[in-house]
Amino acid sequence: MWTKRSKTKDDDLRQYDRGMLRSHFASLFWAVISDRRRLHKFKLQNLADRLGIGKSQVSKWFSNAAPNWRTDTIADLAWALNLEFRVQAIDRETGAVYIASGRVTTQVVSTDSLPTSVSEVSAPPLPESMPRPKGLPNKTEVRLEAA
Amino acid sequence: MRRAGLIRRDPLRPLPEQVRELWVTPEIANLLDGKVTTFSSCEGDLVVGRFLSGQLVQVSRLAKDRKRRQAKLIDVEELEGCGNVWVLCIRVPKPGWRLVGRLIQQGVFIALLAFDKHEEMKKHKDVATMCRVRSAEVIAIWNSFFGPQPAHSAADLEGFLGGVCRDVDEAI
Repeated sequence: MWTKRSKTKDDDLRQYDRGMLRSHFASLFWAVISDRRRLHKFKLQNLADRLGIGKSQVSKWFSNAAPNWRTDTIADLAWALNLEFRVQAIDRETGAVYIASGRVTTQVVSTDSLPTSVSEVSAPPLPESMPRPKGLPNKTEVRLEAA
Repeated sequence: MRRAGLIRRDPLRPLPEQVRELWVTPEIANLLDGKVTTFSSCEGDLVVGRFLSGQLVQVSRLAKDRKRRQAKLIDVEELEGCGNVWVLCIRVPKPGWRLVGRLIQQGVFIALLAFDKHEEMKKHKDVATMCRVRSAEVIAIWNSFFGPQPAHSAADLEGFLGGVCRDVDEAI
């Protein structure tokens, strides 16, 4: 990615944020592709076929670690890989979290209402077709202790 | 590593999770801070930020048959046959700067030497000679800092660098 020499610290941050966001998308999709290649012998050709384009085009998308993709390209890749895309933004000053439907509110729970004993919550099982990674417990334990 | 006088580089913005680490000499820290005029600190920050965050890095581990088109886009190179010496490439403005060093553990890169590739190419007859000379220099500095401790070795690319990597030499 070509970046012009910045004039101020603010310009530097702007260029940095641009590059990091571009890289974020390419990296995320490549992480999925790498995983599927390892687990299911997935190939870029499969992705190209699903999108109805040539493999060289898909390869080109990933030949740069920080490509400036259009939103449609991101949506197409998510569709072709059957990924649900979740986007959130965090206000750097206040820490407030935003999603497309507005600000995410957090519920404050009084510690008096929490159980004093250990409680356990089971995680949903993985699909049969998906191999269980080594070391992953069969259920996730959440321990709550009252103050 | 701090006792050896090395400085840990932080990304321009804090990361929720830092997957890789970069340690540099004080001279390289000055370079990354923009105290050398031919170096684009803005581009350097971006390459370092992407590396530290564990995001996708394009990697080449083969010296031979490295396609010209791919060479322009490689972020990290292993100097093949030079004793686990790796290069972090900052390619803008062309031909850019190279940070040469070794990995002390998975995803922890110790940059011990930096050079402007344009200037460096004037000193050597070809790239292979440049790589040989510079990697020998890096190994000597490594030995002076870490003594007999060997550089990190792994079976695959992820084992070396952690995070998300793409081996550009591999056909997909």
